[in-house]
Amino acid sequence: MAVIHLALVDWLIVLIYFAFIIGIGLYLKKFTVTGEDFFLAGRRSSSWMAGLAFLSANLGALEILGWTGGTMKYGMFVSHFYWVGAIPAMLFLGLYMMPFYYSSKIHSVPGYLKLRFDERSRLLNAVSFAVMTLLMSGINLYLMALVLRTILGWDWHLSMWVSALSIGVYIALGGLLSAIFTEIVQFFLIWSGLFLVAILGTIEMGGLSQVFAQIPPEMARLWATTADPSQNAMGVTWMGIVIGLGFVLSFGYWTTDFLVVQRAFSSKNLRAARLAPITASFFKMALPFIIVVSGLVAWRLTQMAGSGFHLLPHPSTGEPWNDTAFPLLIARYYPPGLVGLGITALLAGFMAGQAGNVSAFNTVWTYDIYRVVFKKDATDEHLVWVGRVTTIVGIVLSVVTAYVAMQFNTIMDYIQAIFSWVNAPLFATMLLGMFWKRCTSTGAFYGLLAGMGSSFLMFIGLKFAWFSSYWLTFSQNASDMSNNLWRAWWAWLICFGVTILISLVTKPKSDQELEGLVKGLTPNPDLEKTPLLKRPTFWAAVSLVLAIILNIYFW
Amino acid sequence: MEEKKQMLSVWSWVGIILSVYGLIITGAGIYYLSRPETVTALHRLNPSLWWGAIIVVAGVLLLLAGRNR
Repeated sequence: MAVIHLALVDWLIVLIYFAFIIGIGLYLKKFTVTGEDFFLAGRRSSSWMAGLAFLSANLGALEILGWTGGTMKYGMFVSHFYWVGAIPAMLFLGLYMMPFYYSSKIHSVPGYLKLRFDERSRLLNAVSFAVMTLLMSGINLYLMALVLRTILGWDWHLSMWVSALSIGVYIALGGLLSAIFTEIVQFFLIWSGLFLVAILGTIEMGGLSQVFAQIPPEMARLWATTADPSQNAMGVTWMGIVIGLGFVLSFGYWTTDFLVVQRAFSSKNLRAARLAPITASFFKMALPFIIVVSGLVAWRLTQMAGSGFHLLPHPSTGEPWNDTAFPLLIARYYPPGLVGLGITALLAGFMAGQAGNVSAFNTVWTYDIYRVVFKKDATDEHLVWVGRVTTIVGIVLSVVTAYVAMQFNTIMDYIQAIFSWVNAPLFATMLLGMFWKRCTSTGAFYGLLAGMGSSFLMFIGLKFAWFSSYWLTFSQNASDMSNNLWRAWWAWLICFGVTILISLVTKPKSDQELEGLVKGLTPNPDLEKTPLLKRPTFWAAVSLVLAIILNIYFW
Repeated sequence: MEEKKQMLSVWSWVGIILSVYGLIITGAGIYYLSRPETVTALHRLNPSLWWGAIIVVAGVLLLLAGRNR
């Protein structure tokens, strides 16, 4: 039962997009010769390019659909995932961590672990990242096909294979350069194709003030209901938001997940690399004006008798499926032509997210696994060849994962939890590695292992009710979201503690070995004389002030 | 990014696709003006017309930005 029927003009817009991205791949192939071209886009990106790609690699269509649906459940609380759960971490990455990443001229985040610690930490992180990325890529593909089938009536297999092969072709041709170009195209398509939904929805409701006037208080405020978890739809306290989301999960993802950080590595100099996440932070901050506003409009429409707005049933559970809210709003407001643009923007979002996974996977596999384990003396030319082959293999494995997810739906719960198994403890390792020179290689390895293992055990323990979630969350009515936030915090703390304890009894590296990798042994880039408007610190301060203003305004 | 082998700037690529899309959407807006069977909520606002025009302007600006690099 498709709810959107594409007219000829809509099909034309969709087809132009596919031809366009394949064209970009073909065009960029001649500029992709060396390993640095293929895996790091030649390190020639400006801060704007790297910044928009940084944001777009994270901004998949699933985020837009999922959080618009999430807003119908959690209301304004979804904005926490932007204004608390992203901005501070992005600014921290740009100001404090990027100098260590960029100056060490690494190809990947596991590459930093090798330089700072040793091969053990690098391999542990590389393998877990590669597995996580492939699984996530498969899940994204599956969910994309599910949405396309439900909304447009498209065939499962055709939509999965066509989009997967298109991505495989343009990444295999142009590497990270292709990925960055198409991510920037996607950024503009999302704003031009989806922002109008929020605008028209707001107009229909009679203005933004009317939207807020019609929703209940527990959905309308950001912080006012967080003293007591029973007073808000997410069942979480302000402390869970601040330390679970704002600190551990957010910093763990934005500062260590290679998928996004790789875009900043492509910058032409350190200043551009530092500005990349800071530039991205302004646009990240603006996204709730598409996502949350649309979600609130959708929620209001479901409450209005005679609006004719009904969510579709979920294919598995039959319950109203919140994730269909955004496409239903497209169907409600967009005439032919605009429908094509809206659907293309969602498709571009799906595909750019996939492209991000694949380009990060091929780099980590090639540099941190293949070259370390299988062929230590590989030439640059050989590595580019491996990167191209890995892209295709990665795409095929993603499709296989998608088919597995299609058969065994519950596997998705496990896979989506992998983020907090991998990223939350890694942030503790990175933090100690970059800011504490006494941190040792053995401490880092066993700390990481303990953090990842404990996170996994807590997940399984809650899943099979081995213990009450109260012991993790201090709340009797904790939601899954609240469990995730608190689990990330404990995994981070365990990794942090174990790393420190073992470091204190093992031998650290000498200062000479740590030059350029640790604070105190790396030149401070803020001491260079630069005009105010070109300083990363200035723009980070502006971004932070704006985020604080938004939090206070919607308190 | 653009210097090596005179690569066409990414802004030009974005400018091209936005201009093309903007023109198609504006054209569709004009075409469907006289067809009352394509009724959507707020269709009286003719969103294709003005939003399409905004996309064309954005596309042209990006093309100009790409040329200056």
